[in-house]
Amino acid sequence: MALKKAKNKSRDYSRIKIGLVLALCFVFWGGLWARAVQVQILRGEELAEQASRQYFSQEKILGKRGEIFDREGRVLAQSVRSKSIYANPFMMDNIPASSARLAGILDADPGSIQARLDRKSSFVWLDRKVSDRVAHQVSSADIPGVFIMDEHSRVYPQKHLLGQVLGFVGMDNTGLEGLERSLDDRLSGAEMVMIMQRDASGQRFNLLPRQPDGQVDGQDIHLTIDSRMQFYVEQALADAVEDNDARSGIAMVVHVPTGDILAWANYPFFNPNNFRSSTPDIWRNRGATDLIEPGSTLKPFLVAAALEENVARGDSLYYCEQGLWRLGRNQIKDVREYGWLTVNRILRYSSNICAAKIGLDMGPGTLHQYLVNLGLDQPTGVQVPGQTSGLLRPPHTWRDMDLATISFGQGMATSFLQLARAFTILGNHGVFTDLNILQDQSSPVSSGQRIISREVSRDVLAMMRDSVERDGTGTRARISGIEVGGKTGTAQKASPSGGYSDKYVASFAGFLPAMDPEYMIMVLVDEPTRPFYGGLVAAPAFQRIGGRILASEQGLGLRRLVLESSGEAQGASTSDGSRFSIVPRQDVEMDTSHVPDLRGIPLRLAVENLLKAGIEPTLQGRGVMVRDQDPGPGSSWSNQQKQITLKLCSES
Amino acid sequence: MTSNKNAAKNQGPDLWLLFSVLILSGLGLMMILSTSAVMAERFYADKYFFFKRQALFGLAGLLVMYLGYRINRGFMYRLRYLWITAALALLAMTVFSPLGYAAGGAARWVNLGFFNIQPLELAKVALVIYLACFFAFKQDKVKTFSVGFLPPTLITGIFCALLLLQPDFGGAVYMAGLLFLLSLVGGTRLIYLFSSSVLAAITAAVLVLQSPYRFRRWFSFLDPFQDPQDSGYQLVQSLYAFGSGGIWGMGLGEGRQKLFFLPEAHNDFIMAVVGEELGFIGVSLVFIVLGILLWRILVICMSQSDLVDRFAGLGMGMIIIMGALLNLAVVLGVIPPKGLPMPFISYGGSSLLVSFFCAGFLLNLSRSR
Repeated sequence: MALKKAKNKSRDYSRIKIGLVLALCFVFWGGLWARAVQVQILRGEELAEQASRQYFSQEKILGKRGEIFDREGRVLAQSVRSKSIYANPFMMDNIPASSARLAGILDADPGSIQARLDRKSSFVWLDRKVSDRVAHQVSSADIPGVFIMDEHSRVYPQKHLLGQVLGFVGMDNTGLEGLERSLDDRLSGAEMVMIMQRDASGQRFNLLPRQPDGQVDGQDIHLTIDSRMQFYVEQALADAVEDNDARSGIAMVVHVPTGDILAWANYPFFNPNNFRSSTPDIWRNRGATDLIEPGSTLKPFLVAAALEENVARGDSLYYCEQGLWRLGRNQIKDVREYGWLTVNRILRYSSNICAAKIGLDMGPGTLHQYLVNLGLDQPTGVQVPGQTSGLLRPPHTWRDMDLATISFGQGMATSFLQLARAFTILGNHGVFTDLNILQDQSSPVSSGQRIISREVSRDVLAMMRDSVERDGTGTRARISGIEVGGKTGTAQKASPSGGYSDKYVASFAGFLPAMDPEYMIMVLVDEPTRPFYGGLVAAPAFQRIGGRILASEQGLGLRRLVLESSGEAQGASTSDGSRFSIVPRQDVEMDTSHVPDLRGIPLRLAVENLLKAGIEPTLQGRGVMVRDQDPGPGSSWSNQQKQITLKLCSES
Repeated sequence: MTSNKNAAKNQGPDLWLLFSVLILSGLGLMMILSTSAVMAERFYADKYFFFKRQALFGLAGLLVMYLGYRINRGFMYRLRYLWITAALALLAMTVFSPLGYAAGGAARWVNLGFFNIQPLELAKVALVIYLACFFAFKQDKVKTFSVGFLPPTLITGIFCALLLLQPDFGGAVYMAGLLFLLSLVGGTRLIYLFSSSVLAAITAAVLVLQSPYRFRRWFSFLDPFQDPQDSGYQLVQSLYAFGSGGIWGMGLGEGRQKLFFLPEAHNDFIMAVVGEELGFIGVSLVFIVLGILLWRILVICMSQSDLVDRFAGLGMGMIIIMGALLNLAVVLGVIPPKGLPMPFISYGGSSLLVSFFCAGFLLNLSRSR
């Protein structure tokens, strides 16, 4: 009983104590509520004002800019990720110890690092653009509050290769010129907005240290450019410009069946890695932006139009006035004096007088229509910035002299790029073909609008072939082993004071092979001194480029493998098309540790294998077969620089 | 007394308590969506990431509450040593096993793959049941030192030691607080309580002084504006949030502090966002609901005829109330900041489930007044 009583007593105590505890809770609860009144109502405005003084700022972080590749996947422009190290001292435990460790890794003075970390800031740079090794060491040290951030810088590993076409980016990684500018939307990474906070003194700190994720990165771009071919083209162009003391030059290789631009060189070169040391004059992609008067390279289109419209036939005769023709108060001159010439030979010898006569026979409206249809007044689809449209006046304003000069490519202007497109159309047997530099837009031309009929195209291609392979103006363009066609151009430059100056633009546009072209190669040399004829200045560059293409692997990737198979001397043959035979591709793995035996095999194979081994042979004589070689087979290479001379003969 | 008991048999659950809990958890869900959307979108590319998870936990919580409501209390009491052992084992796992999952420098979670549980929350329940049974069943010996004082103190001490190893200072204080309250109510001699409190205070002081980080964290709350960008940072941001809210608040979803100014906005500092977005009105709603909870806990505990029920009810109630009051005290800058979630409102599955279980247990008690 007593026990029970005691229990009851303690039970009562416990009730009282529970009441006490809960009463205490009520007191605490009431106190907190009062505190809420103080904070929210009494001091509310003051705190709100202080809060608004610390304001947001949004920091943009750009994702990685997409890379630019050539058609083989070689990198032309890349974004190099570099690591930068920063700290949020607010999140660090032991600043002196961390400083010492960081100083060891970053090879810096612990004192200066600690001074930085002692700042009342949540964002402190420790080191920028460090090596991967250092970044790895920092991340494996795993120091709380220390972070690594990715930054990007743009690098063009091939230096000046394709410089003007690629363009460059500015400090903030936005494209300022070239493809970098026109494709900026695709290349540039998405912006990631980071919310940063600034206090009243403007100090900012990042509350969310994190790395940008993959989805903000820009798109990679694959160009149709073949960077090895580009290299050869740039070499050939540089030599052409330097050898002729010219001001500048442009060269381009187009894959005819697709309109893909395989190489596009501008000289002087421009290195986008270092655009600041260059001038806008150099980094401008003149092939797209500048107007040129095409000169005689326009004549194939004139002839094509004339044949198409039945104004003339290939064997129609025109009188070339012995080199000087008065038209009204003006006179037109030819380089040489010719009498009667067939249309075929007018193109071959490039007579201005007879071209003018054909143009006059055709009339302004028709010629204008053809030039328009060939796209000579329209920018191409190539995605380079700043393309000019041509300068082609409406035909009703053309006087006879205008019509006459336009017939041989003066008095109108177009861009190099547009002219290249017109030749590509001709090479595709008259089917409209737009040029293209992006691989994802590349497609074989099949159902484009037909500008010139197949027959007329073949006729004009044959005339262009004869201009090179026979006795025309383009004989310097001949490439041993293959029949090529082309047209020279020597345009007089308009002088700033009106009329024409004594400065010239020498050009050459040609096809490889001549009749069913795989490649269209166009070379333009601006203001060559002394010899200024396209046939002497630009045609040899064409020859070098074409020869390289033929010798290189790309040349063997031709849609149709073409090689001279007949024993006739090259260039002398006159038969149409029959000179080509199809030789299946042979992959001969050759051991090049010693001098291989190349005797008796086709030149193409020999050269291909030597180039694969990094050896550039010297050729002696003419022909398509290797007759002999020096050093002889089996001997060891004489020195580091492997050299071999191949003596050639015709196949027998 | 007996008639009272018979009448109690027929009583349903305490509806005041039930609705209070539902209001708090509903408000919590809403605030989690508001506070975490921006962050969730950034980190998980899904605005509703935290919301969805919390909603799932909420549903599970309702089940757990029902379980607590239906459970046989005698069964819970009989197995008290099992609960204690399990809780200790889980806590030990956070510290000593690879399953322990660390975040923010403290290993407070056990990784179960889809869900990380926080053993501290389970330990609270285990400790409350153990202490309630201890003081109720050993009522006659409770005044003695060796039987009445030492065992509960030792067991709580082990819990605290494990928590300090994590390290979770706040959790240890919480457990010591539960021991203190239940010892007080259970009848431990005041002299023991007083002397052990002094001892605990000394230990705490040593721990605080040992680590300058902890020291800074502890005393910055006294004047957070002294160093608003550093140690006082969270508190200043929290007070800014409350202040910006004023009386009426900036409107749901309009708060700016949660945009990464306020770390853990959907977590420990969610009440600051309530203050910013719903204003003093919203905060007062929470206070009123808490007041109702306190009142119902008082009524339920007082009406229990068995000591063990009374103590267990108080303990379960204290898990919720102490958590809520300490959390509010932290966000309002009254006590040093400690990682304590707001029951029913803060994001976090373990805390939510345990809070629901406590509520369920109280509802269970409320049937048998």
